[in-house]
Amino acid sequence: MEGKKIAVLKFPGTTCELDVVKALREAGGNPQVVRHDRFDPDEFDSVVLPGGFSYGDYLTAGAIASSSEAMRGVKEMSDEGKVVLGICNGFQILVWSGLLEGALLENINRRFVSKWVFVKVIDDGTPLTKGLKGRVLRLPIAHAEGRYYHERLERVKPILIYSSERGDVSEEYNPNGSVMNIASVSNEAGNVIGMMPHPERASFSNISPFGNPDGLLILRGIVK
Amino acid sequence: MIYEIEMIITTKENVRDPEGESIKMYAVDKVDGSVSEVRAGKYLLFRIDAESETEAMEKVKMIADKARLYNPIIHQVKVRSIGR
Repeated sequence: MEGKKIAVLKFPGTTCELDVVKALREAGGNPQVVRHDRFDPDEFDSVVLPGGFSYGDYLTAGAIASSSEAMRGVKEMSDEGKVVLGICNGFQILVWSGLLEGALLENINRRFVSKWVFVKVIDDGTPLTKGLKGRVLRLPIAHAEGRYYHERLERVKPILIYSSERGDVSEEYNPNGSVMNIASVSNEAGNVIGMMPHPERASFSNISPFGNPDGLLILRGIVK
Repeated sequence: MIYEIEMIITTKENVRDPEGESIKMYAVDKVDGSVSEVRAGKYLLFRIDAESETEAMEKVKMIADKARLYNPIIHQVKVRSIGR
C-alpha cells in the first residue's frame, strides 16, 4: 500500500483503533494497528494514539499507559520531528507522559459528555491544521475527563477551540469547562498534537449524521 | 471547633482489587520491585464542626454509614484525624 506508514498504537483497553485505521486509509495513508508491546518507532513515519480506556482508566485516564515502554518510542518519534497525534484517551496519555503540557481534568458538569460540537481552527502551524486557520469543523466528542487546564496559559499552544457554528467563542459553547475553550493543543514545534474530538468518527459522509466528513480535513495532514 | 478528618475507603483484603493490581504491575513494578502489593481506594477529607476530635470522628463514621459512602460488604474504612 502507498502512503505514509502510520502506527495506530493499541494499549489494553484502547477501543478506537479500527475506526482510526479506516479513516486514515480514507485519508490516503498506510496505517496499521500496532500492539504497545510490539511497537518499533523506527518502522513508522508517524503515530496515532487512538481513543478508548487504556488500562481501564485505572489511577486516572491515560496515567498507566504514559509510563509504558511504547511511550518511550513515541517520544523518540516526537524528538525526530515525526507527527504524533493523540485522540481523546490518546491526548490524555500525551499529557500524562509530558509530551504535551497541561492536564485533562474531569468535565466541569461531572458527566460523560457525548455529542457533536463545533471547533474553530486557530493555529495552522501544525501538519494537521495547515491551511485550515479560521475554519469551523463539526466533530464528535465522547469523554469524561476532557477539561483542559494549565496554570501557565502563556505556555499553551491551542489548535482547536470549542465554538459556535459561526465560530463565536464563549462559555456557552464549552462542553466540558476547558480553559479558553481548548479542544486541542500542540507542542511548541507543532508535531505533537492532542485533541479531545474524534476526527475518525467524522471521516465518512455516509455515516456522519451531518454528511460532512470534517475529520478527514484533519487526518489528511498526517498522511501528507 | 473545625476538625479535619480523613476517610480512606479500600476493598477488603479478601476482595481482589484489579485497579491496585494493574497500578502495581504496569507502573510501580517498573520503578521498584520491592513493593509486595498496591491497593487502590478513595480518599475523602471532611472539615467538620465538633466539640472534640473523638466526636468529629464519630460523626464522620455515622455520616459514612447513613449516606452509604461505602459498601460494607466489600469495603473497609479507615477514619483518622489530622488535627484542627
